[in-house]
Amino acid sequence: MDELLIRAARRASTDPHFLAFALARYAEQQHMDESALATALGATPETLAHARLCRTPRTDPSGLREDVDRIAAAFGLDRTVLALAVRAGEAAMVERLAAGLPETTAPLLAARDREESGE
Amino acid sequence: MVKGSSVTWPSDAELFTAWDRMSGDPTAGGAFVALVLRPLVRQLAAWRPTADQDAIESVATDVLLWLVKQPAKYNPDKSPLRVFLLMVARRKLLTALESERRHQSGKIRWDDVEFALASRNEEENDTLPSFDHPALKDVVDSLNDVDRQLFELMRDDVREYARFAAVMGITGLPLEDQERQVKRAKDRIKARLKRAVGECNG
Repeated sequence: MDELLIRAARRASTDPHFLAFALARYAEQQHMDESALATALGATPETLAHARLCRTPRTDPSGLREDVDRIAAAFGLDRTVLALAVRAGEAAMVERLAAGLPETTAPLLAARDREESGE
Repeated sequence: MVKGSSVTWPSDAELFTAWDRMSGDPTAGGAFVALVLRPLVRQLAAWRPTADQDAIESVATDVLLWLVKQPAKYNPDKSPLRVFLLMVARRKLLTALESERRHQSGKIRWDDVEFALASRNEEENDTLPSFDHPALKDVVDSLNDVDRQLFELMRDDVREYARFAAVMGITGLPLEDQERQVKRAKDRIKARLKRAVGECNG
């Protein structure tokens, strides 16, 4: 088991760019710990890590369907649970934006972007 | 495979292929991180053998997540991906180590005080000053990345400890341990904020 990869994937759960964000919000809603989430998705700890590091599916209906199908097929995940998780992530983002909060709570990444662009 | 300072990296062609996939394939991030994270961590550890392993791992992870998020930050015409990643990660590690050195040289006693305050009077800690208090700005600016994210959750009145646990990267621990560590971190930050306001008022 690649613990290094698993720990890296956990760190992605605060950033809505990553599917990890939606999966974390879904797990909270369902009062699941990591093990229960993996079971619900039909994932192993390693495939859960890979799933967490996926790009969050697009929001338009056809893009969403295509991305969810692709991610579910790539890692053998339960498509229904995955789709519910994506919806939970979208809802969390809507709440966050409605409350005027930043899209991400990952200041390191934003700061790094500023540095890279020479600002 | 490429060897550098006894660290074995995937070949430049493998790295390029993994990077190239990320621009169109939503599933490619995990494969990229899985391919690169371990050699990057080992190379950084070989470069700075006395550096804290957690700091090295954090820097390597952050750099890779940053590139997964924005693959176009790498320009293949300028350098091989391995060279680019090492350059960015080394710079970030130096910054992190310097930040930690400053924190340790000036803040150890403060942390002791904060933990003592947090454990001495929990009820008092529940009454926080306004998060808009001007005295808090310097304290917030001085927080490390994890504490800053925890502070933002506190400011936003987030109650679910799982959100805090996710930021702290401890969601794999038993729930009781997660709750205990989250409470400890929140109490520590509260004590720090209260002390700043107290000094300002005093």
